[in-house]
Amino acid sequence: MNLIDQIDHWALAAPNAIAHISGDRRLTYSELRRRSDALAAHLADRFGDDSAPIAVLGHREPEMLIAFLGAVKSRRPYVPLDTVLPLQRIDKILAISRPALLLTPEYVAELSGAPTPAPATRAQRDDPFYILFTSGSTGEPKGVIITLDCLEHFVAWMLEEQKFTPLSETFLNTAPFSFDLSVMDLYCSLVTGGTLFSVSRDLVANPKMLYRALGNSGATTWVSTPSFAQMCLVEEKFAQAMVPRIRRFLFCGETLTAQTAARLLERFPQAQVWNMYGPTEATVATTSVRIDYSILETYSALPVGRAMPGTDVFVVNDAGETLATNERGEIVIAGPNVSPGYLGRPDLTAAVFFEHCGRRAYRTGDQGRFRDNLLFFEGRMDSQVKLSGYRIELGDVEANLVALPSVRDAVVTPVIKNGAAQSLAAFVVLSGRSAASHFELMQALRRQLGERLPVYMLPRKFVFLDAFPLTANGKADRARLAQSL
Amino acid sequence: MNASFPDKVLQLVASVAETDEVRANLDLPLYDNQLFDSIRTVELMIRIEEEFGVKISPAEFERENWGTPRKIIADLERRMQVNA
Repeated sequence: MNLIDQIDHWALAAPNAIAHISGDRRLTYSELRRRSDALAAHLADRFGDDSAPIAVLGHREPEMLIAFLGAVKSRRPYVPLDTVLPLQRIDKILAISRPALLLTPEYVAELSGAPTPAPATRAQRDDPFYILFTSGSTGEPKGVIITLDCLEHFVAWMLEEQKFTPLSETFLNTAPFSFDLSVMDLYCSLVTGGTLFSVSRDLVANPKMLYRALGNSGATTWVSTPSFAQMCLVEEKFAQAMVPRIRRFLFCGETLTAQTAARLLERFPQAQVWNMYGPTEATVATTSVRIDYSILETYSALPVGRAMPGTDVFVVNDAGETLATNERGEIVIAGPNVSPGYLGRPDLTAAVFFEHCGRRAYRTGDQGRFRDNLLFFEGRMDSQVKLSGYRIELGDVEANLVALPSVRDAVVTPVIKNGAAQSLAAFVVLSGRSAASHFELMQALRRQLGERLPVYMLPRKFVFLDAFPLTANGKADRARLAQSL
Repeated sequence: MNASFPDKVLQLVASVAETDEVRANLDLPLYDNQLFDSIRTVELMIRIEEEFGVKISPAEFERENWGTPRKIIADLERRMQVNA
């Protein structure tokens, strides 16, 4: 597959087909190609061949797509940034990625106006295609490099497995472009001449508008975290009649419960439900399984499936030895979809990436086991948690809390309900006494922390203590703190 | 409608918002203070149905009607009267 050619060819084969719908804005394949070519020409002309990334800051605007393709057509990776990120977080990401340029939708519109042919040299197989930043345990975000080759392997697998109908699919885009779940809907759609239907933040905030938009979307392929679908299911009218063309639900990013899958199968008798698994470091998703009634009858905790062809997934013990079926250990992925590593961080890269039989391999830090040739995900080995599919290192939140002048020490733990993390709780030792009420203190800390971290990383509960209970080793006793909730 | 109805509602709101401040300040803007979001809104809908048997359709829901604890109580009282 040649991903960029494949996308571009729709500009000739179906120039007026709609590539993207966001609110009342539409982008055709012809415009996407013309504008991304023009932007690429501008970037090549202005920056030469230094291959520095292009940062793109926006939300769901059609210009985001133009900017992504414009960057790679000038042989530069893009760094997608959503406006949900606070400025301090964006600054940190820019300091690490050192982009040639920071693009916004307005700026893209300005730079892509005059029709100009694309430069001759664009992203090659082993070039970085995008760099996606995730939470890092020390408070510094880390940039996962995904090459064109990684992405092509992922998309080729999706096409093979899902058999999308060219020029007739509409993909629901619910994840922001800074979250790699969006890569699934974005590129599967563009490569098949489909329409990407973006669900913006405003819609999610307003359920009434959200259901109306879902009803009008014409969506055939649903891509979201299970949390998002669970939220939609609260409305009884959320069923085949509301979204009549829907043929498949593709889930990734967090645990899909049997209950959610069963309710979807019941309400959407014409749709398939797929559960997928994989870290950002292995390009969106690596394993998949169709959840049907026989799977639901057999397993109370759903499997995440089998590896994509050409990639190996295995479960290892502490010594790195492959474990037998049904033995629990760390999930390791080896194959062409594995990232070459973290941008500018050979130390972090060496800690989790290695070579296995001549291929790149990644130790996920996820626990799991194989049963009946199916992989089961069983949580994390470290202090990373997932909230609504967002990956959060507790150390990241703690480091940013302690960086606030009024905080002397902080411990952050997940609040577990029904076996899953629902929110974060922060235990805080303040630097000095305060006359403010608990609520005022909490709101002040949330506000200050909100200038450093995206809203999904903010603790909802705050407990103020004079000192932390200590373990025998003199460290804050996290287990006791968590129990006190 | 018995006297403890607002208290019961506030208890649910406090549990979903994870702060007792909602009982102390009935005019606290829930969404502006990020105490409520879409997921919390539907969580409260589910809890209200369990507690009072009042079914609220998210597809017909206006966020402004639940902007503060006081507004939630008023909205639910209205719904219970219609149902009664």
